[in-house]
Amino acid sequence: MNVDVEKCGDVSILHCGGSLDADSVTGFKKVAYDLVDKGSVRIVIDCANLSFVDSMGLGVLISLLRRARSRQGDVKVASLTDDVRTVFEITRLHRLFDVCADPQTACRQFARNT
Amino acid sequence: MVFDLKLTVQSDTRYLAPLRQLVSAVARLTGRKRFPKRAVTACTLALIEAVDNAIFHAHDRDERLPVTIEMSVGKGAITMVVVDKGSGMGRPAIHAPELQATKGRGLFMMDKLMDGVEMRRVKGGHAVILTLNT
Repeated sequence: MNVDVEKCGDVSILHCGGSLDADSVTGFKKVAYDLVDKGSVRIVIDCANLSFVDSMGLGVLISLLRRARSRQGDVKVASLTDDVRTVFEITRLHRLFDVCADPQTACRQFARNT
Repeated sequence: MVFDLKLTVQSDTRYLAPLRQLVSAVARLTGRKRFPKRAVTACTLALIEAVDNAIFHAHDRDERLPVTIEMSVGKGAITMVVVDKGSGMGRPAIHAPELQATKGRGLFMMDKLMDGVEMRRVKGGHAVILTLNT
């Protein structure tokens, strides 16, 4: 998987590509946790190019959300592909995460909550 | 039986991507009637969850241990069997995990995605049998 970090004010957008699964969670975790540890607790996961997520990928997203919320931040997910949306819906995680149409919408939602 | 395959991989997550591609390839080979698009999504995810369980739970990431995968596409059903060298989980209750739980979704997801999830002791190990009616 590949992860590119873009800054949008105090929001970090993680543009994810490929698959977030048992084989790639470690790399994703390092990038995402580093952000939170450095104080970037408002995070958007851009899933436009994310083709696959398994339960271990979901686990690391939830762990990231818990870390961010414990520091008064949040993690929003944006641009879910059909397959990834299906995974969120069967696991009901669309009720835990704020699911946004695209990263720009997610950034605007963060700005409203400032 | 329209299509039948069996392969064995090591307990290594680097095989996950090729296994996903394999499901798509089998779907292309057998055609949309036998392997509809919704089945590709369901079978891919359920297979990966079963293999994840074999690698991380049954084999505790011991790469030397084999995971055997069988896939059959027949009239009206797709069946996948994942065999590991573990002792299995018995017959665990399948329930939705707490929303904020970071673990414990694999079996729940398999159950949601497939029409049948069966666990069985087999010679020298344990099998998860996943069935999707098409």
